[in-house]
Amino acid sequence: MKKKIHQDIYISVFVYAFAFTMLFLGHNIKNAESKLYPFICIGLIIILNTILMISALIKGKKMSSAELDAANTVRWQEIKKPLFIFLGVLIYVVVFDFFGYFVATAVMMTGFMWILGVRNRKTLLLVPAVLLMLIYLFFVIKLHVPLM
Amino acid sequence: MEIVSAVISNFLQIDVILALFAGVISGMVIGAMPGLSATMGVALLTPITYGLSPIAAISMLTAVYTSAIYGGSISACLLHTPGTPASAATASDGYALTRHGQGMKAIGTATICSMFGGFISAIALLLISKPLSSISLAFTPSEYMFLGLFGLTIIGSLAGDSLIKGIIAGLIGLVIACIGLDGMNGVPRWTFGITRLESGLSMVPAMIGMFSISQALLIAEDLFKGKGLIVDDPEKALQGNIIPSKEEIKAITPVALKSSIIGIFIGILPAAGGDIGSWVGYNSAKKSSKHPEKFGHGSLEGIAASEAANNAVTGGALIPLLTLGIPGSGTAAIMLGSLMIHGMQPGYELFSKQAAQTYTIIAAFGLANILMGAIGLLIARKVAYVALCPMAVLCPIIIALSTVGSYAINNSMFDVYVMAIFGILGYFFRKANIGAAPVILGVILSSMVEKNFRRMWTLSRGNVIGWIFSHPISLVLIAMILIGLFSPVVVKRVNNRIVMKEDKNCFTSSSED
Repeated sequence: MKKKIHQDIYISVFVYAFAFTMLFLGHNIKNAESKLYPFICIGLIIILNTILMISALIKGKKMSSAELDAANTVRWQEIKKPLFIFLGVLIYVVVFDFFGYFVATAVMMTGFMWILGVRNRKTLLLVPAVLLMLIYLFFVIKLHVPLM
Repeated sequence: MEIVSAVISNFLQIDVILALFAGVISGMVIGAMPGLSATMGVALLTPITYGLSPIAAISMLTAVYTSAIYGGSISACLLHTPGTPASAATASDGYALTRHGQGMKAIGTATICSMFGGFISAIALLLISKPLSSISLAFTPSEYMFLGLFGLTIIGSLAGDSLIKGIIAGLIGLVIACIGLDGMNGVPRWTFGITRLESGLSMVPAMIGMFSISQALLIAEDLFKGKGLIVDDPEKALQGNIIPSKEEIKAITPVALKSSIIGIFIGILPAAGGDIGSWVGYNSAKKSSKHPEKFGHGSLEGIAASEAANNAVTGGALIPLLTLGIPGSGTAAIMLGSLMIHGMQPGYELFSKQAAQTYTIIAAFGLANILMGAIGLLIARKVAYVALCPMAVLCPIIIALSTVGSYAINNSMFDVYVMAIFGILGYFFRKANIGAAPVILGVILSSMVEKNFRRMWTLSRGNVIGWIFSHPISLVLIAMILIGLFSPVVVKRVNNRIVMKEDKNCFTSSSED
């Protein structure tokens, strides 16, 4: 059976991607003084990330598959459904952008409660209605936030 | 005398009083819900304070902070599920009393001792803050820079299982905060020609995303795993008299006082929060108790020690926050952002030019603790039902409130997208045991570190090392940074030992039962 990889290695890859992207895009910054501080931070990130990757490689070699399974807290089986919910959040934000907060929130709340297992009709209707009414009173009436 | 009258007149404003009540009740409710922390409560409620005066706004947030820590004890006693990590030490004794039909006594003791610890810490905040803030008058840019870095050492306790990952996350926060126009010379950095990015990424949507949206995703994950119901029927558990007897109050008072002092000191340290405070207070009380064998099996002293200490941490954490701009806990880090939003820059000015405002906030914090105790005794039984709120209902409520909060800052959809991006980032950071707080701390403290680093660079004419060695306070701060970074590792190990020892004792006794 193929041995799994310690999750810190994936984290390191993402951190490298972030650091080198910022470094690459940061070359366009015109003033050297403006670059100095963020580039020092990026340099430190790269150094520490290298240490993290090396230690993850060493730890990964020493650990058995079962130990690695326990150490790797980010598991596809666990995160795929929350990622689906996050996709829903993104759609909600886009709908909010086009149709306004109240329509988007009413649909999102009812939909999410349904997906998450709420079947009581009163709850599905009353929770969004009460919350949206409170938000309307506070944010629209009192704070004059244009949510419509 | 002038300040006293100004404080009284500020304090009697209706918006301040209403904000205090709202802060206390919402904090208690948030704290009582397992899974929602004081940090998340403060992040989520910050946008609600936009329409308030700075005094009302910060008073409300301090009330949320202390009440959420207390609220955590309600679900700890009732469900053996700490509402916040700070109440973990309360859970074993509180729940043991609940099982013996004395749930209300456990909650009553937690309420009184939380109030006591919080109030003592407010007095400490009042007495220590001004002298400490005057130290900052001797600071040059290098001291301010190292102070900012010292503030970052809290990462040691906020980072999950690895200090190195926490530091990387903090550094990522420092870099992210550089996006936008350079504050010193107006040069655009990583703006990609997008006008909206020139003013940088808004701090509050980032905070809300990292703490609240990520929490909603974690709740969804739990639900998909089948952890839908938080609690069984609390009716049977909530019995007995909420007010402890005279003898019991007499017995717990010295414990509560000692734990409060411990909590204040732990709160001041940037490396430790309410969770560590409560365990240290609990352990210290157990060592000095005449009945250590009762700890873990329904000891009122145990509840008193843990609750007085964790609420005393709140005032302790506000001391370095208000005086030096360095947060003593994760929640205090979020409050630092809130202070800045309301135009209050921590430091000596807060105790000179803005003294009336600052002392009103401190007084309000003290009163918030008393209100929390009074309201807690009146409505604790009702608040306990909050724990019954199904997670499936809670999750979309958090998303809806987070979205409106992020939008309301600038009436900008851009901020809502920022919240969403930081939400998924926060989820992965928390899943990977890095924690959400280090990034936010980096974002908050970045401008302080950069501004003073560049000033020091200019003043030292490139000879930074020589400059640092000619400033003894800087050297002291460097030593403190090193201690701050590595002491949490030691504290965590000691803390884990205490927890393991407690668990072992509980297990042994329940086997005997």
